[in-house]
Parts: sequence; C-alpha cells; structure tokens
Amino acid sequence: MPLTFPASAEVVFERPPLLVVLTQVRFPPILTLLAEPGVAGFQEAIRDAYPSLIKVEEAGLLLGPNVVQAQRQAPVWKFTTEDEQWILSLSVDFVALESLAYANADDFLDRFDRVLDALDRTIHPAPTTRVGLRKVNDLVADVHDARGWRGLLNPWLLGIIDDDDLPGDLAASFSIVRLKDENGDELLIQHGVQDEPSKNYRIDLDYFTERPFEVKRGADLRALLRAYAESETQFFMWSIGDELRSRYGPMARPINEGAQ
Amino acid sequence: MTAVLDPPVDLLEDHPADRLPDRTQVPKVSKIDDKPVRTAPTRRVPPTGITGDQVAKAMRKLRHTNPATQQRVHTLRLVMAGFEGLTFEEAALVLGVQPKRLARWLHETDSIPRAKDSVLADLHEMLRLLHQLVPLSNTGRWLRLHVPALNGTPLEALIAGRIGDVLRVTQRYAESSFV
Repeated sequence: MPLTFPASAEVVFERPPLLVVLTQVRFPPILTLLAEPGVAGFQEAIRDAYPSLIKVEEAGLLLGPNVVQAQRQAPVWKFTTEDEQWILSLSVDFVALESLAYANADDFLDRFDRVLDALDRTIHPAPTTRVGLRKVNDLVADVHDARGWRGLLNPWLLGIIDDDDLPGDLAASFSIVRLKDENGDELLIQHGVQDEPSKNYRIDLDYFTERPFEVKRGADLRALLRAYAESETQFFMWSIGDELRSRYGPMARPINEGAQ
Repeated sequence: MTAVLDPPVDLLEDHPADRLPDRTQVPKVSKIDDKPVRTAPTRRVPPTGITGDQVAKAMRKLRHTNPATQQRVHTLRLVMAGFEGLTFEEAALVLGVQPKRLARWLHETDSIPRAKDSVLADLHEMLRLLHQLVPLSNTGRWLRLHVPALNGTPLEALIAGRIGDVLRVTQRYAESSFV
C-alpha cells in the first residue's frame, strides 16, 4: 500500500504549479547503449513522437594521490518532442521521461507505456533496480520573507518558519523528509525556501522503489506509478492552504481520470 | 483476394503516409555542443552507475566487432523497432528463437547466425513496405488481421515461417498504392 495523506485528491488543478514531472526506471547496465548502433532500434521505435536526438557526454575526474585523470562517462541519449516539452533520456542503466507540460497521470503513463514497450522490444533490459516518480512543484507568492508563507501552507510543513520566537530575518529554510511505506518504498520530500526574497517555495516529491519489476508495457509498472502519483497529489493537497488551492484553479477530477 | 490489396482504411486514418517519417534515413545525432542547453532547475536525471573504466573497456570491445555481425544486429534492431504491438515473446516466435537468446543477440553477448540473414532482410523489407501505408502504431493490429491471401493473419504466417508470403502481400500493397 502506498502512503496516504489526510487530504482528498478528488480535485485537480487547472494551473498546477508543477515545474517538472519525471519518471525514471533503472536497470542493470547494457553496455551496447554506450554507442550509437546500440540505440538505433530504440530511436527507430520512438522517433515519430521524439524526433530530435542529442548525445550528452560528461567527463568525470578520477582523483588519485598523485594523479588527476579525466575519465569518460557513459553518454545519455536525449530524445525530445518537436515542442521540446517532453524529454526522454536513455543511458546504459536507465530510461527517464520528463514532462514540462504535464496534464494528468493518464496522459503521462500512456506516453511512458509506449516508451517501455519500445525499450522492451529493442533493448530488453533485465528487471528494474529502481523505479521512481518525481514531481517538482514551484509555488510562487508575493511574500517578502520566508515567514510570509505562514497561512499559505500547512503549519506542519512550515516547521521552524512558523515559530515566532526565532530571532533574525529568515533567509532560507529547506527540509528533507523520508517516509517509508509498508513495502519499503520511499517518499523523499524536499521542501522549503532556498533563496531570498523567498517568493518561491519548492515542494519536490520523489516516490521510489528498489523492488524489481519487469521492464515492459503493462499493469505492474503502470499501477505502481499511478499509486505514486496519487500519493504525491495527496501530499501536495495536504501541504497547501485554501488560498493557494483556489489560485491554482481547482476543479472536480473528471471521471476515469487518475491522479494529477 | 481483392481485400488483400486494400489495407483497412482505419489503419491509415491517424497518420497519412505523407506525414510518416522517412525510415530509410537514419537521423543524425548531434553533440550537445551543437544545440543550446536548456537550463534545469535541479539535476533531475542522475548520472549512470558505471565507472569510467567500464565505459572505456566496453567501447574498445564494441569498436572491434566484425562489420558483418554489426550489420546483422543493426537489422535485427530495426526489425524489433518495427514490430510495435507485438510482445518480445511474439517477436521471438517470428524470428524462430528463444526469447532469452533474442535478448543476448540484442545485447551482443551472443552472435546472430549467418543463416538468419535472409529472414532478417525479408522482415526488414516487409516492415519497410508496410510502414509506407500503415503507421508504426498500427503494426500489431495489421499483423493480427485476417488476410485472405494468407489464409490467416500475417502474424500466424510469420510464425509458421512463411515470411516470403507476407512480404509478397506487402509488395502488392506498395504496388497498388502507386496505381
């Protein structure tokens, strides 16, 4: 059972403050994905939807007692849609889908299903080593310091920000919370205000598992990611107060639509 | 027989053939330097979990692969890409191989026998012709349709090893589309 929070997810937002939604599936390394020929089949299978491909290579540094040596890292193949709102990353041990135009879980999972199907046929990885769904929310409000978020967010979430006795100007406050569910899956919550003038409050949610799943289109991974999306939506609903809720354009969730 | 020449209209509706990507052209891969990099608010995709040594060793091995073997694997990957709508296990049946061995071929940990060259070439050509008329996303549906000339579905014919028959059907599709 995924984590449930004391907030209903029966509402979806017309203008959610989502910066990015990302799902990543990790699998044991497949070294043929280091070179272009190893990626060709996958590219062929998805290029009608993701026509643009960029190879991203990063160099690593090996630091020894007497030597500093540049080391080649595995490339990441980045495929993008024409409008560049959807980014698909593939490397030797992971595939990730990232959306800058997330509408709802069904649409997101439909797209990811097709990616998994292409991956299964053309690369066929072994079962997963990690599966995660991450939603990064960037809340914006006209506040002049971090304490201005009081009244806008759940007091539990604010923690130290909500304490009147704290002396001085509160320039930044950022917290990390890790919650484990009964399967041992983990929800990593990173939230707070990082920069002055504190107009942005980040709620970054990453729900993940290290249990193995078959990398293929189908019920298991989809159900897992849907449950994660549901929990993250519930947590977000629980985090914000009525004023922010009305600002994001709440509306009843359409029938048959999953989590936002 | 007449129905054979007309691919079902609903398979063509979504994506007219003139909007389909040209699959004979392999898209160019550009280095990151060629394009502006979109700045990310946070590092969203973590780096890979393999070391620089492993990368260098694997790259050396890949560079020394025999060209004929490389071509075989390349064709296999294109064929697998074209089989949208089939499961990995169904594709293995079409290729007459166990799924585990098919995975090893794709991972280049086992060589594809030379005897598979003609099967792979015919499947590749069959899919190329088919995708001139039927979008990739409808391949699985077409493979499961009853085709009178095959006395069954193309998938059944492929699994029975009648790849030539299915290829001829798609050749007739291609010829009829120019009439």
